[in-house]
Amino acid sequence: MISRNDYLQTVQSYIKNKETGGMIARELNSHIQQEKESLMNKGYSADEAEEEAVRRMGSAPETGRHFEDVYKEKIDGWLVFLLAALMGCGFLTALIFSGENGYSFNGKFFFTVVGILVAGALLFIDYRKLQPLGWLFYGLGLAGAMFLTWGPMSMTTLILGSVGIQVGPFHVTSIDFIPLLLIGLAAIGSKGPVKVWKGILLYLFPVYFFMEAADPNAAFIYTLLFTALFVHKQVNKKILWSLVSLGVIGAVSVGMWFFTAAAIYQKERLLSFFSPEKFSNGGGYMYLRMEEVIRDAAWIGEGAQAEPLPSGHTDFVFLSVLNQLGWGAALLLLILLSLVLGRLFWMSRKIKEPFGQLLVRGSLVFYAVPVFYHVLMSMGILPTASFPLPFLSYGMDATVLHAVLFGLVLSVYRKKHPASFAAQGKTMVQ
Amino acid sequence: MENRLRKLKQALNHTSFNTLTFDQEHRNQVMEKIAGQDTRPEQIRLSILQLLVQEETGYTLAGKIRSRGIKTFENDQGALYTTLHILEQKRCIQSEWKEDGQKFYQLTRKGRKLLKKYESSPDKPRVLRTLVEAGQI
Repeated sequence: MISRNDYLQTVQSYIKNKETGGMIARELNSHIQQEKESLMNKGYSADEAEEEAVRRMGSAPETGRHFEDVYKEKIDGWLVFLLAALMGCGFLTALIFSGENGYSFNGKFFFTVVGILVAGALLFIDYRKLQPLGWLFYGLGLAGAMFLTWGPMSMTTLILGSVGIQVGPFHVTSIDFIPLLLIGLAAIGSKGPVKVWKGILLYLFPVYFFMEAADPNAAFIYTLLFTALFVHKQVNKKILWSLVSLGVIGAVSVGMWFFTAAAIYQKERLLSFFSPEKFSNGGGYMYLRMEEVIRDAAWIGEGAQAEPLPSGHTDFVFLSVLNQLGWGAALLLLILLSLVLGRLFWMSRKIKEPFGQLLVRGSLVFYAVPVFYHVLMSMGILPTASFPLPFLSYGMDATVLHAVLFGLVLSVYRKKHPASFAAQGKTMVQ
Repeated sequence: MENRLRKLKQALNHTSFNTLTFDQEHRNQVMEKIAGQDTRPEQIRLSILQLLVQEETGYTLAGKIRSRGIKTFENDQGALYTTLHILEQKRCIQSEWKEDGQKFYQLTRKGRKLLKKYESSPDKPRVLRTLVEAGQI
């Protein structure tokens, strides 16, 4: 006959995670206690009652093993597989792009390897350790965005129209600070309801700096991300409507400013989206080329018009694949991209712990926005803008940045059991 | 019964069936077998779900399961808890630690739907199978 303590410790010894094991032991102990008391009421002595109560629990090793089976920390194999497939496809694009301007196979390889290493490292840390550092992450992200705008001109360069810094092999632009902001926002948001004025400030500061750095794409992504994190069902209807009306007023004023104060070339850019034929020598050229690609693409292999697109390895990766590898490859790509999206969505509903949930939701938006924009733009539904396709486009933003967030997501999934146990345990009276 | 068959019965009782008795031992074994028909895992899990329409602690649940005649957990109460945790992972039930330090379990919406489906389904075994299938965790 084993003692109560031996029983509990044996069960715990089979459960790898100490927190989880502790919670389970608590529950089992409570049961043993009540059984003991009921036996004592029936006339057993204290010692006999305890021994019998423990005996009735059954085999400790078996119970411990079953619990470990339920709670072992799993890596989301599906997501890893899908991401590996996407990265693999990213290499396939090397088939198309060798020798093109700015594209280098070594570069692609380098970014991919860095991405995998970073994701791997993040996967194995406990994401919850980041939560108390929320304000630090937000501050770092904000400082980075600030530096791009106010930093010394000698250090910043204009990269593709927006401000960036060259740090070794990496072009750092506004968008690279968004993951930092995301971690910060998720940590802040998960601690409890955020006051509206604080929320507005948390939103406006980065957006201001992004716009000042001439990077509206980053501002756009940040806006949607912020909305997904903080605007949800529980938000006061009144506040929601005032925010929406603010947004509408903002959009209208931007529209008015645009038509009166914007430079000719900016107006042309927008107008050429609506009627590219009129601007076939300027902004409309790209739209016409895009239409050609879609019209002339084959099912497999090169389309009728195989001339590569400008910036084909970054901003127009999808069309390049369509152009040079055909509809078959393009559709396969779309399916892969959607599967990743679906998996992220599924996971965001499965994760109950608040910090983890916000991280997954934010990563979902950060991934989904470029994918949607890129594909819709490729089909001619949206005006051209630079939204690289995750893992497929060339460059640090497409590969390393997303690898960081996916690494975090995988870490959240791995720790979902101990995290939810711990969250439950906080409501217990000690 | 016909006379001739009755005589046959008597004769047999005196010869081949002489040593055959239906004593208490047999009775017990038959009763256990009858009880045992309800102890397949699916049936047990179904009973747990039915009992968790109200919220219960593991301890009170153990008592109620026993009163239903299910003896599976009599000397294996740890297994009741692993089953509860598995059902929780499947989101059929949810748990909550209350202020008195006890952990209470109760059906979730998904669990309630499953019960309703079972009660109204013509193919009850199929519904039960979803309770024990692997994966989904």
